Amino acid sequence: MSHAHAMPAGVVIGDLAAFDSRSGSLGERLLFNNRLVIVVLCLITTLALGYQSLGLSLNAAFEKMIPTGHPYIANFLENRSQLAGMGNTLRIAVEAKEGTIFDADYLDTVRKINDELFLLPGVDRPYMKSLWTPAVRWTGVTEDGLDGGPVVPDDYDGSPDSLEQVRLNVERSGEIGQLVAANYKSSIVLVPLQEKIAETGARIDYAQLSERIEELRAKYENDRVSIHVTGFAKVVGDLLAGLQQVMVFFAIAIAICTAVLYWYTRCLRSTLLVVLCSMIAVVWLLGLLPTLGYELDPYSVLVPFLVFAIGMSHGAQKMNGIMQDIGRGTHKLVAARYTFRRLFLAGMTALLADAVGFAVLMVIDIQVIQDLAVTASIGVAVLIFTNLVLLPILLSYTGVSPVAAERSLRAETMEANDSGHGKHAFWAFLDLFTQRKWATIAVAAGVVMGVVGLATSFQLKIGDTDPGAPELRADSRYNRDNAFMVANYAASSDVYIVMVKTPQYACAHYDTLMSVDALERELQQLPGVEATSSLAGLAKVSHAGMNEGSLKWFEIPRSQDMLNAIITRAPRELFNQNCDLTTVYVYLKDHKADTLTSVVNTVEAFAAQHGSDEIRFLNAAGNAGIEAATNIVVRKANVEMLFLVYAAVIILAFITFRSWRAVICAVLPLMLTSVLCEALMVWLNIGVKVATLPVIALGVGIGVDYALYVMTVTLAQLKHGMSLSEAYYKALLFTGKVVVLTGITLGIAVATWTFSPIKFQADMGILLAFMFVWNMLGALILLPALGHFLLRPKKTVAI
Amino acid sequence: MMRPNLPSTRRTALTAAILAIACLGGVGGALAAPISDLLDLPAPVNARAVRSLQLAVTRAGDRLVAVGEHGNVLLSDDHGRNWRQARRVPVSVALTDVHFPTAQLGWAVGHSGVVLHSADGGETWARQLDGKLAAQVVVEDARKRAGESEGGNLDAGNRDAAARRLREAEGLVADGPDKPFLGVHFADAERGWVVGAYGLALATKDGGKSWTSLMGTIPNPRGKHLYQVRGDANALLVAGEQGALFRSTDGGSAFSALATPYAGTWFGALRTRSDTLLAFGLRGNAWRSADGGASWERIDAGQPVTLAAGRTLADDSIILGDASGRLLRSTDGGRSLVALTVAPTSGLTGLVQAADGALILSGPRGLTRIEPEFLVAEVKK
Repeated sequence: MSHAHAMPAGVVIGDLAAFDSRSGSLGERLLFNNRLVIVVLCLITTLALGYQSLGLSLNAAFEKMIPTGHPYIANFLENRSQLAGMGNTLRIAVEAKEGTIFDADYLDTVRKINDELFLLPGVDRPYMKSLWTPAVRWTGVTEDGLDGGPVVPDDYDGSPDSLEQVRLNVERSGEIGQLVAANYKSSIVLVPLQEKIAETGARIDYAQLSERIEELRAKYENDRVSIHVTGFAKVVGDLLAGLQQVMVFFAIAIAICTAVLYWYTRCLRSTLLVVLCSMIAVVWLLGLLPTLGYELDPYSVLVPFLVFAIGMSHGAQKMNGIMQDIGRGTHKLVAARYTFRRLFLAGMTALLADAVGFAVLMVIDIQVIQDLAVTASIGVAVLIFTNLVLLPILLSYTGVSPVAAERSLRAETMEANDSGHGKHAFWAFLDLFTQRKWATIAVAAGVVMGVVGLATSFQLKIGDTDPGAPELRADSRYNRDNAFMVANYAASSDVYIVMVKTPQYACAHYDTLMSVDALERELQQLPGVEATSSLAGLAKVSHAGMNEGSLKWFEIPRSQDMLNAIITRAPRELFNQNCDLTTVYVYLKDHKADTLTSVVNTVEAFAAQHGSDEIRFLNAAGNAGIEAATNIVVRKANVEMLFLVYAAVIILAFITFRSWRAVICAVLPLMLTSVLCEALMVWLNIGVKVATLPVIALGVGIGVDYALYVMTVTLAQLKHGMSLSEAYYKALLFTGKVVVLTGITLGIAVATWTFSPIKFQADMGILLAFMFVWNMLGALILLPALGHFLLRPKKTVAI
Repeated sequence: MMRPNLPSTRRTALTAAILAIACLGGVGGALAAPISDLLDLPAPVNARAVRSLQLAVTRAGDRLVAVGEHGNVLLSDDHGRNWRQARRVPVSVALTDVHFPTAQLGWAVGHSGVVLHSADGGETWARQLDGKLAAQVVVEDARKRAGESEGGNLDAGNRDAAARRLREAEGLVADGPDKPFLGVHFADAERGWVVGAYGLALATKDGGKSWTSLMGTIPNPRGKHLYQVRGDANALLVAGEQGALFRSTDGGSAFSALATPYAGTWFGALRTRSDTLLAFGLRGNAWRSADGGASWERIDAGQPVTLAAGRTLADDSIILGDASGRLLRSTDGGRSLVALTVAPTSGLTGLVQAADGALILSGPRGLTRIEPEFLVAEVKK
């Protein structure tokens, strides 16, 4: 590879006429000799994609967030159509603040809410349940046999007598703890959702659904009634609503980046150009997504900002190079071309490393992450055009402000003149790490941190570490509602479903039920399990019901005739039409990783011990079951992903450096950051999950930029026979400055996300800020320290 | 496949449904069944034993003993404040009733026709009887009676009855151990009675070593479910479905049917100290007879909810509990019932007074203790 264009300083050419426009690579000539065409093309593209971006939608889909390839999920999807209410359900509790639910006004409110919810698009209406739905019935025993009817009787008129009737029916309905709180102060409207709206075939618009529910809340909540809503759809809805606030954080982050860049350069026009080009990249990205059929979801919404941040980092490098050249007296066009020559390859490699790093996320079998990978890769690819090509071209028109150029020159002259003893204190400090003593200290400290971090990172939890919806803050409305549900209802919102497959018509066979009952008994021993329900449990209840409600009959009847009679009355969520599938519902206290693992392990062990061709116990459906599968996939993906990201980064770094030693110097600091990031997650009690999984990959992808910029220049200087110290010092002055600048700027910018209303974004903010800053420090401290041991300042360049 | 004689009316109501899916019973015989039968599965240590369904509670001296689902036996030595699992119970079927005639000796009954015995105040239990053995006892008795009637001097009606009982008894054997015992009472360490589904009733005179059938003794030709057997020095009362109430005044050798004014199920009956009978059952039915069962008057229980349990307390007042957990008390010998204002539990299956006067309730969520001070205060009102 020719390193001629990697010269940190070209010949100063003040007059454009003296510059040979045919010099430079083919690419450079193609671009810079047709500057106007490029600018116009970019303008057209921006307008076109800007128009396209208006069609970008923000949504989420249940199936996109789950690992559809995992056997558990495959079991779920295979049996999904046969069983009702297994996945995506909204639970809306209507609470009576004064008195009990046996109040005419209260029941009337529930009826209105029930009726409005019934009409919402996407509701799986036959399976909706509330006090007012006909499916919710009481059974009672009279002298003549079983009697039953809807909980709210047909002749209900709100009179004290009929309210008393409702109370009696509720007591006999078996819904206490399920649909009605045991303290009679609230009841639930259960709204199962279909992924596709039956009437139109369109996907559910969760933002709109959530808005409709908020409207209901506003309409019916008063000093006597309060409404609590939980369920996946509400989490997503709240996330989508929270994203509006997120946009504010993006704006703040962008403002901080711009301000710091301006403070550093004191050049308004070039600062604005860098911001502009980064924004253009974002516009292109947002336009390409709908064009390619993608949409943003709560996870990938971070990508545009990341693209902007990466763009700022590269843009600042270009601007700095051009500014230095102009300061030395070079013509702005020539300066732009010089900078292009020197930094295009490093920038390109860095961006490719980013793109590959993101693309690696494609291996994770969860569609939101794959979408995020695609989105981020597109965004980074776009940056190659906007920030490596368009930006230098635009700068070649505008130049930089003379004051800024002069300032840059002054700084450079001062530093250059002082080389020897009076180096700038900060750069001199960093330069110390090329010396044996400090290099040893740095490497030793790195090893210690690596070991401590690695030891800590083994405690890294997969999945959620908090109850409720960990995407949202613990004190968010949603999580307070969730706490209400957990406190008042036996059946929590975390449902794990085990599917039991039997031969046809054997789902209610005595032996099947005994197996199911045995499984339930084992599950009930787990501290994380609140309750279970199944056909076996129903058989006991019904056995009692058929015997005048006496609980002394609460046992699975041995008589198959009796069991057959029972299943004719069983609700459809417990078995399928063919009677070859029955389900065990496991209601969990929470969906923390430990809880889910204990259930998965219990079911797997039971299946291994008691399963056969005749009866198979299959994991897993229900939101908790799906999350358990997701955790398993995430755990595996976390390892695979790191492996692949590093493989990609190492290969790209090798292509750039052509030196294994340099690759080690660049990659080891990244690895330390990754390890420490995992340790940080342990300390902050952040689990690895769909939301946080990409962070480390993103961190590596972005962190490698710094190393590439510093190492490229250092290697070029070493090749010219400089000592490591001299070479590194040069690299610091040229690209290192900007590495510090962008590292700190981006770190501060993403750190503002800590204040986001969305918990996972705050988590990502902390982790990304840590990785930005720590990768910068790694590139500036560990890289030269490792270089001291690995990159000998010989005349011979590393291979 | 159908049982030849399903006595209750509601069962015939189900016939259509059963026929519709009767084919279901015929398949699945080839299922791998590695799960132990509950009769052979010792009750496991259960993390949530104290919060699980308990079906009856009684006193063993000062100790309290409760039984419930999954062969769960709970003991309390501090009058129901704290409970622990019994050390060894050989079965995992639901246990429905328990009685200790002495502090050490006790019997528990349950599903699959199981009778358990403890000789150490409920700590450990051994199986004395199960449904298969019980069916054998019944069929032998029926054979004997049928044989007697063939060769004897009985009239035709009695012969038919004996022959029918034999058919039914043979049906019992064919059905396997699928009938629960629902009530147990022991007068002392030797003499005891167990009653259950389809009129199943046995007695022992040797502390459960051997059993005899009462099915020809209790005049229950239609095989009504028998829910409770209770007794004292003078009389033994057996309560059951469709208004069935039987009494023995000769220490359990002969039983006579008492005519009751209600055709629904009696879940229990008790005798007050003043020789008043109180029967209670379905839909809030509580009836009182002051003349040994000749005439009855209804007592208003307030709500039409099943009255599941009743006891006479130390102060001669009577407590009845309904299935919704509501407690009713009578301080006038059963003439009137007043609802206690204790917050209802989630349900009620049984009750007993602890040695310190507290009321102990069993129910779907385990056991509840109601402080004696509270009961006293109620009386003063």
